[in-house]
Amino acid sequence: MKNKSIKVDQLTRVEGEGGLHIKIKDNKVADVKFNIFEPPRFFEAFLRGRKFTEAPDVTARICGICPIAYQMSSSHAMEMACGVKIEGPLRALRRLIYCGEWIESHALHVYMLHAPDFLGYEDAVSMAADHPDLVKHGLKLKKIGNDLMILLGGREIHPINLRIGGFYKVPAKRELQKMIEPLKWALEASIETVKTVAALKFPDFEQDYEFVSVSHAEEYPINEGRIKSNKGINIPVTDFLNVFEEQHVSHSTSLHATVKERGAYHVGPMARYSLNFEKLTPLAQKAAIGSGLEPECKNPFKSIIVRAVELVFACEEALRLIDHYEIPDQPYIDVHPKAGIGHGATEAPRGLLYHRYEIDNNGVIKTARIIAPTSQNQKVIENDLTAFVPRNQNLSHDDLTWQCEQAIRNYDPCISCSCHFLKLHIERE
Amino acid sequence: MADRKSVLVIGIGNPYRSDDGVGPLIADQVMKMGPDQVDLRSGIKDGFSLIHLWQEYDQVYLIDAVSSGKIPGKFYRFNALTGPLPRNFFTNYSTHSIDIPDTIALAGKLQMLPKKLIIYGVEGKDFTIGQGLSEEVRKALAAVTVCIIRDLRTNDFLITV
Repeated sequence: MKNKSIKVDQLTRVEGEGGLHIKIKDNKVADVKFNIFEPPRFFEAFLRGRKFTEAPDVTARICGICPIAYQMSSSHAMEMACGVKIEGPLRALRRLIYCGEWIESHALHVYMLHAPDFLGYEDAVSMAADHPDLVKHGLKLKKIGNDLMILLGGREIHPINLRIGGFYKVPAKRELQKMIEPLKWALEASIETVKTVAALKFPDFEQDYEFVSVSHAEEYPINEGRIKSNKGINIPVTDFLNVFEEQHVSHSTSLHATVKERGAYHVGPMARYSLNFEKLTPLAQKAAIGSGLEPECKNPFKSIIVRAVELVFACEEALRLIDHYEIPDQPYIDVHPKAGIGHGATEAPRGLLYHRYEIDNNGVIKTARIIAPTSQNQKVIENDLTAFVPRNQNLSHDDLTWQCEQAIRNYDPCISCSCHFLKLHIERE
Repeated sequence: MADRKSVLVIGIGNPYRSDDGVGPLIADQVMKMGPDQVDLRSGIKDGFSLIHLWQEYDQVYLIDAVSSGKIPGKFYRFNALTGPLPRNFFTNYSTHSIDIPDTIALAGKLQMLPKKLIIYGVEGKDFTIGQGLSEEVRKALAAVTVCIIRDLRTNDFLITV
């Protein structure tokens, strides 16, 4: 066993192309490399020389799963650079469409991508034969998230109705009210989802993470707040690059982000939840506690429960926003360019998404910097595997390989965002 | 299902990837030249979205470019309810979604298929970035459009590959 080699050529149910190589020597992990070989996508270079108004639509193309996140972080950054802050109903509508993206993305991951790991199926298609109601639930939840995105964004993939300053067109109150009944169903279904996934079997594995997320004084973080961690970071978004840095590593075309002079950090649902539990909506808190989840979750395999809790939150929050909706006086605020630097950090379904732009007086982009959640989580994924493998050497070759893949999917990694298939290779010497 | 609509034509593909855009182009032609009361959808995000969409219809015609290594412009007609589609014809470009054969398999397990589901596949030649079709695929466009319109007019449920 101690010199055995384990190899999985293709890890599915993650977005993007990359690979993982784990080398075990004398029952100890000698090396873990999360290899990302997807070619750099050059979005930051595409943006240079473009008008500041183009950034939301250009960056949305980075990801088909979380385009709203890109539109929001870029819009916030540009608005900061131009000295504009979006408040009131337009801010609420942005939060509402972001809820749609969370519902869509989390439902996809919980039901279609992650649940098969726990229930022992290769994929959702094979799982559907034995658990048709589970899959139907997931599909319906996902559709409701998509429908919310279509209603506000014009379409669910790369929405076309968002712009710097707000929206091109805003919905009438009655249009939003059509979503009330589906969202009420989604809320109940999400509460049941928390119960269902909490009953799954989880490996006994906790890590001392540095959780990092956007944190807001009054609300569960989505699109605004300071950046905080459980290990002392409490900074405005403008200080992001003073505290965090990206490093090139030879085995990845995606830069590794770390806390300067400290190391890996963890972004995503578990970080948001653990740093902002008290800001969750009442039903989401109740669902979490009822499921046996502590206010801080350090077992990455339980991220499936946290995502389900965030589904409850997103449905409840969307219903609240619709209930309070008053049509804005105008669909967008005019934003006039001026030379400056703007930063935006919002919470994509997979975690904190940071954008920084420098523009000139004509609104032409001089520099752009985008740090996606998966690039921030790469190091922590490697650390998880480094810790997980030695503790589970008693597992059979196939079971260990399965759980290593599962450990990666805990993060719902979007390699395409950070830089497509993940190849997993465990080698024992 | 009492409130099901009648006929839906779905064009799958990216019009900015040359021959990959043949599906939406054929769907457009069918809408222009075919019988009334046919709904059209293009720009579908993923397989999961297709399931909800086609469940609302009795008859669905789905057109997609395929890449099986055969002669460009050759086209295929499959009855998706009578057997599995060939795996090597349809490509999935996202690991966060499922391809056409898996979408049909999943919908079948969930009993979420329309009563009739015909898939037209057109062998592409050029899938590089750009608009417009290759000569071979452009010729197939007219032929497949005629076939689908004939399907719609004859309402033929007895389809063979």
